[in-house]
Amino acid sequence: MEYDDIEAALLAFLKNDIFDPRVEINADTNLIAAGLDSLSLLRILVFIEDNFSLRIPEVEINEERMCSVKNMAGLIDELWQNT
Amino acid sequence: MLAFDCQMRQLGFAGNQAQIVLGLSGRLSDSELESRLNAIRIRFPILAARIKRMVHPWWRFMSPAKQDYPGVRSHEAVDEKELHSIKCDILNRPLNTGSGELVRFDLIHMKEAATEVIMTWSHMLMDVHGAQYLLGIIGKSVPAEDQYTQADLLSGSYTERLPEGAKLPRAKKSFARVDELAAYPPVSLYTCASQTVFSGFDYRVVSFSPEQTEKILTLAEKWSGFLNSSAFYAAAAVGRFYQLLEDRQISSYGCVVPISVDLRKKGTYLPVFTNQAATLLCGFAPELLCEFDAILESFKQQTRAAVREDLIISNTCAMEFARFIPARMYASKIRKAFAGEIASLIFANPGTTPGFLYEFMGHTVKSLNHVPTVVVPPGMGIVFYIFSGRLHITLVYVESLLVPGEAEAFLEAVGDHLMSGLCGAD
Repeated sequence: MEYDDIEAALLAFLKNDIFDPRVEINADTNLIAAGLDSLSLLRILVFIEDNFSLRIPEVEINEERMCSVKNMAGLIDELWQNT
Repeated sequence: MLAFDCQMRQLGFAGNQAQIVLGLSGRLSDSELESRLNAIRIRFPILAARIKRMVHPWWRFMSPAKQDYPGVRSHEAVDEKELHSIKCDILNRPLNTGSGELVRFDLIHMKEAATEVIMTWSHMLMDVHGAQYLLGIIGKSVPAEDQYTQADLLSGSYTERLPEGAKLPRAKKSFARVDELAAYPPVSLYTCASQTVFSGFDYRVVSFSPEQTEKILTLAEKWSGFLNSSAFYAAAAVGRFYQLLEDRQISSYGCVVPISVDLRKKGTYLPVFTNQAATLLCGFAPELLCEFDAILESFKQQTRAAVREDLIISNTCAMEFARFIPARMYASKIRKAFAGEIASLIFANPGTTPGFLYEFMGHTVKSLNHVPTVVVPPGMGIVFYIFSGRLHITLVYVESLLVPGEAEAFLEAVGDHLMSGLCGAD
């Protein structure tokens, strides 16, 4: 899967399932500031596992990696390259 | 009849009360608040609606002329002791939900011209996030608060987006989870004390400095992961609760802790007049309860499994059915599986207070506390929240379960646990 496809899939999931439609979300939006909470983060991690067949290592679940769709997609891409 | 059964049979869902206590820097007069509430109740008649139940529960709206609620009562307190006594009295005064009293305001005037505003509301009207937003609207601190009508703020069920056919299988899944947890049924202090009536609720609050809060949050991230401080808090509370059972030589088959989860779409507090809080039931076998890191690990695993297996939505489906079919079915199911218990300890973490609650009707808000009441059993609950960069913990309990000194010791022990982050070597 290409980086752009990963980013698009993540964005669609966040827009449809996590955030209110009134909230503008793009690849650079700071998700923490936009209201991401622990349950939403867990739902994103499960979505990544199910759709990209990847389990994000605990050490990578941090503010820097999870703060935007761009960073998450970058991490998934990186993990994919290394598998 | 236990309070839980009583509520479930009558309403189909628990309508327990909760409070937000705002400490204002100046004096807010009764007439100022009453006049503001008069305008608010015309905009939102649901604030004084009566819930009716035939087969389906529904709201009956009254004309504004016939609305007596929300009311405002005034009190004077000369010292901290009297203040606490008045607050406990207010906490224990039930809302008359049958006649439309879903929200009530109490103002406590202090000698030094400060005022405490206590909003008491019923969870059948809204959850804590809705209540915060309503306070923001009343306090005129929510931007563009006048643009919302009642229709904008009202919502039906959060399971609306599920197709009808998908609800029953999910509700069954939730009941199956209850059966699983029943292998280690909850033990609460309440049932062990064999009480059928309770004297009233009391509560204690402990607050941490901004530096201590920073340290706790750092430790929470280290041990329970990013954005997951709830797990850290819950593990400390459950561990201390188990210690209390041990101290009293109460044999524990296990602990069941319902964790309140906010199902709102993120980035908004809307809709306001709805309860979007769901319950995630976490069960802990006795062998897991002795070690903080074992509780924490089990909590993390159960939360992940609950998301993967869709157990949170399943729980909401079960509750949804409980509203539309004879409610006693749900109550009897829980009581049968758990041998009379509902849970060991109620846990909630409403998180960081929104920015709009730092001002109320032109006054600076110096302090904010969450004070829930807890269904009986277990009659004991703990809430973690952050206001002004400081972590606060409220422990609410039925008076006869703990003496105030024990409640303070409980909070102190939980606080020590959080500060030291007892999870192996640092």
